[in-house]
Amino acid sequence: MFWKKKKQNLDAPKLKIENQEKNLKVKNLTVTIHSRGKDYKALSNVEFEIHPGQIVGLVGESGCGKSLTSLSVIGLLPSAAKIEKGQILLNGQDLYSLNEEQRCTFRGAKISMIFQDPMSALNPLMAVGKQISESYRIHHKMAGKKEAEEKALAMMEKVGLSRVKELYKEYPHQLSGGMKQRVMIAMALINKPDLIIADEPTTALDVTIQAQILDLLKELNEESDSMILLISHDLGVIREVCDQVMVMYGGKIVEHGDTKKVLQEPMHPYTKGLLSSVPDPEKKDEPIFCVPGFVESLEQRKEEGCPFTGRCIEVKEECKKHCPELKRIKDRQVRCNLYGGTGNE
Amino acid sequence: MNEKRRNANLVTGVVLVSFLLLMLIVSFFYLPYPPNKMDSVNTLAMPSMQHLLGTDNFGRDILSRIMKGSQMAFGIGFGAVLTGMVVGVILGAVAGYFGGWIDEIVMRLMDAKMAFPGVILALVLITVFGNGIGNMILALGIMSIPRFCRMTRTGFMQIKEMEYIKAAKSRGISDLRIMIFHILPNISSSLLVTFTLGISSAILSEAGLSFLGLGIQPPHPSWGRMLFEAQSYLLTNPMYAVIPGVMITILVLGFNLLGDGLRDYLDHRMPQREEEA
Repeated sequence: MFWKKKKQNLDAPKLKIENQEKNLKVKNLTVTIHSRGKDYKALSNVEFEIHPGQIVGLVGESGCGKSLTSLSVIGLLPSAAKIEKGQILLNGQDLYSLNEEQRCTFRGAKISMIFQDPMSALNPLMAVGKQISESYRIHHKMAGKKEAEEKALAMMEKVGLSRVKELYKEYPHQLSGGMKQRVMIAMALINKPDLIIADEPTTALDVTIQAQILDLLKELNEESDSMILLISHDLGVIREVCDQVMVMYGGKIVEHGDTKKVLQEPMHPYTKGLLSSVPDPEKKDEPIFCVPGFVESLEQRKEEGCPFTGRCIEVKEECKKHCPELKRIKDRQVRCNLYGGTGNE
Repeated sequence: MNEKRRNANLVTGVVLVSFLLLMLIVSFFYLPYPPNKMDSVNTLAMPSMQHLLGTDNFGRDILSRIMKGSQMAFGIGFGAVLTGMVVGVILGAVAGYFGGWIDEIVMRLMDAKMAFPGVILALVLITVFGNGIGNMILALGIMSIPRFCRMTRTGFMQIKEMEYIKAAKSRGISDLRIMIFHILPNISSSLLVTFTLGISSAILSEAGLSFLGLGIQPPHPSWGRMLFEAQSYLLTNPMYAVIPGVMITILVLGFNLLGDGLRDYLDHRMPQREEEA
């Protein structure tokens, strides 16, 4: 906490900097949420890896654990949530073995986050330029005001903002939504992070701006060889930019594989359902398909069986009793009883 | 219509307070007579060309004493509220931001403080530590801590949940920096209003304590003290009592109207800002 700050600064964090292999490994992540005296599993055994240059998509309905996954990675879980087991390793460093002070040096420097709604993710009372240069100065203690300002201006130009000198002094309410999201991206990229978490970065934007922002993300990723975890519920967005896609349901990854393959021939019934719920102009006279039912709330979720049982159209008797492991099937991983027998192996 | 009334509050407040401020500034450079100079021939005189507001029981010029007294009133008012604000904001910020047991302890302390009558607390402090301007400021400052503390706590609790504070955390900005640079500016307008309203109540308490003979000691001129001294001469020279009373009224009214007007003005402006976005 804040009064311990001084002391911790003295014995500065000794982070593993050697063994410089860039990657993000999430191993067996299980997160519980404490509510009304009981613990509920919100994420169970989430496991994935991201390598440099990759953009990995995470899709699912609201309440499936997408945001919780990203918050666990950046270490900003709400106080009711707790990591039950599992590890999150960035470049080989276990993020949860660090203390708060050390994690602060990771946040913003090695991992950064682009938020869903740029209207509310910028401080309304601080000039946008100052917010960008602040992020730089926090992680470059030696940098002066001038240097930080130059870096911020350069970054603003890089994300496609024009007349940056004036923009630097303007306040968020003077900017359009697209400009604000560019500012957010500039802020996320200014420290050249290894991992960028983009939590529905285009949901709050116009369709035309969406495409621009996605192109920008893709371009910047190719250029800096960083890793991006892109969270979205828009399959169009995922198709456009992601190399790999993970489909989440009920706190579990149910399908994980190459974006093109997964979206072309989905295997898990949930992925199939999601894909057929996308409006299609060729079937404009038919009612839009939707996956029946709702995402079960945490309290309703059962410990055993597949979480999708209640809504699955291909449900089998064993699904109620037994939830399969994530199994490697052909070119991807799937968690479903329809494939590969009972699947306990 | 409504807007006009709001502006009226603000305008009246500004006029009254600036009148007092003007008097305060002038008092540093010019006083008609030395405030403690006695004139035994001319005691309890009614207003005249020589003594614009008359003289008191020792023949001292009331106008000069009122002007000199405004230094006391403002000094103690600002000093006390500033002390209360600094302490209250720090406590409130920590309580609101961190929550949990810190919040619990701070808030119970504030409850205890609020349950304790302010004037009695000031009496106790003055009795224990003795009379003096410093102690007076301290006592009145302590009295105004809870209002700042509660206001700051509520503001911090609200704003720490905002998306942009989460975003700031995700950039690795430290708690202290978030509190000072990202949250505090958001509540500065409410702090300003509380500050203004706090001044009037601090000055009122000061006058009250001085009236009881516990505040500013003679021969320093203080409005409350003058009111107290004038009691015995109400029938001989009513002006002696009326003038400090009017001054206190103007000051309290002025700061209250200013505070109310500012609040309406700032509240009124807030939604406009969002509309622009």
